[in-house]
Amino acid sequence: MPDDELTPALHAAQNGDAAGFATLWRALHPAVLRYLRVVAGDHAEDAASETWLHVIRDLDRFHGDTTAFRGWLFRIARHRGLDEIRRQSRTRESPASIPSAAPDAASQAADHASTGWALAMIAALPPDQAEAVMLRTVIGLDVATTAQILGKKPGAVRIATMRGLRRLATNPQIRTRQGV
Amino acid sequence: MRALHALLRVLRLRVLRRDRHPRPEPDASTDRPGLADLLEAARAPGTPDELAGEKEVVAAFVAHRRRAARAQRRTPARIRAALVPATTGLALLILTGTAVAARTGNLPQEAQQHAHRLFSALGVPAPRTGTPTPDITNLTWCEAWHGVPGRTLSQDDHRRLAAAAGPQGIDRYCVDLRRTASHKPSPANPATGSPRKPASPAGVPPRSLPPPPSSKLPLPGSKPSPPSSRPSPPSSAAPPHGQALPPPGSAGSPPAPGPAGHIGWSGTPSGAQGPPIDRPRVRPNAGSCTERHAQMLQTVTIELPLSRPENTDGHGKSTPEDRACARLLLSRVRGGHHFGPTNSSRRATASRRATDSVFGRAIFHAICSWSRDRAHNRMMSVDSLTKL
Repeated sequence: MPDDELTPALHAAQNGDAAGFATLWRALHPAVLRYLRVVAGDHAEDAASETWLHVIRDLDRFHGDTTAFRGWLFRIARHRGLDEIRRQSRTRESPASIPSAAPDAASQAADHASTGWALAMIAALPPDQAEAVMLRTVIGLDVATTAQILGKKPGAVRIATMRGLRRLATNPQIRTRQGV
Repeated sequence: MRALHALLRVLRLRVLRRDRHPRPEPDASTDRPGLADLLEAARAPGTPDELAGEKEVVAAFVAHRRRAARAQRRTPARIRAALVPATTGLALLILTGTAVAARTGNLPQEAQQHAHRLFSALGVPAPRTGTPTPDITNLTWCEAWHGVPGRTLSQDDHRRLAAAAGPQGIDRYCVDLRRTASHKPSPANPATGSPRKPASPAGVPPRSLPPPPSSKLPLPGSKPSPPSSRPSPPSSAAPPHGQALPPPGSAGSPPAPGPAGHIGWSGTPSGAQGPPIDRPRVRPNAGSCTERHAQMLQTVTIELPLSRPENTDGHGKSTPEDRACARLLLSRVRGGHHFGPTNSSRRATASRRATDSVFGRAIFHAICSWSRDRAHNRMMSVDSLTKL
């Protein structure tokens, strides 16, 4: 959804309008969830919930346009994702993950055609490159905002994005999935 | 050096321009097979699974907004955080001040009486029932000036007495002071304004005060008076200042010399003669009056209405101490002084003992009270004491 359409929803949500907030959530939650799948893996759902609760709590104190709101939202998401990873690493109680049954050919083909397959390919990159590709190429944030979120300089973000895309382009699975 | 600074400036500007207008990154979506499809799949619109939690999130948003609205209507936390300690401190200060005032007896009379009734076990005293007679000190100096045994007048006291006397002279001043103290109007009879004279028994007219001796104690640095004018020390044959009281039925007659029986401070009759009076035994007491009372009583030896039978030792005689104590008590009565509640407070006990010692327990217990309290809280009223 373009930013011009999100601006009235953002203002309405800041004034307490539930419909405006629902519009914001519908427009941005998929991107948040996908970014958190790359950052936090299986804990993306919990991290996304924490992210939106944080947004609900502090939305009336936010000042800025839609672009700034996107940066603020993904910064919160990254922090919550990292927190979730740390928490899960401290409270790891399950002895080992139960190996799932071997997927059949039909489901594997469907997975390859889905968003999940694409996110899994991106998540297989080194963390800095994966985050840079997600924020810059998938979500569409600018370099400065991405650099603020990741805590890096713009040049480092640019290089990480370029290296991530090159690595994805040279991936044989991606080359063979051309035209999916 | 300038060239180096210029070079650095140019490099910095290039970096800034590159950050503001970044070159397009090598997006391989067009020239890399498969990568464009992957990125399109990652940018796909949200699936129903991803948007399943919309209702819960919107409900959480609405609930938070309601809580925030309620919190805004309430008192801000900062004000509340400052208000609670301030109010608590103020209340504590007021309570402490009231407790200190009650413990030191400085509350208003009604409040002090109430506090005493509630917290007497904690040492809260009864209200003060009057003001001390201001002329007692001057009377003490006058007695010392007139040579009463046991009283000395220091140089400073002499100077103060002279200052208090003024141009009229110490002798004249002391006479006036005694007369004033003896004829103060009772507050119980304010309408008439006439001085309340103590009742005398039938046929016994109230006697006037004897003239004060004109002598004075030799003071350091002052010219002593002739020894012949000095008052003689008190003896058993001749009480000091000629204030012996007549026995009942013999008005105006001088007291019988010798060791006549009397009720002293101990209240024990000594050498009983004449018809005994049926009166209860007075408590033997060495401290029936407080030390302060005793010191003050020794200074006042003015004649008092002790000629009534119930106020004497049964022979119509009383010792100078008896008269002095009665004089003090009566002067207090005339000054509007109550004798305090007959309860457990130290001050009230001292006053009660002094009254008991002089007037006898039977009379004391027969005194009515102004107070509507219970019996143990009754106060000896002015009227009651002036009727004695």
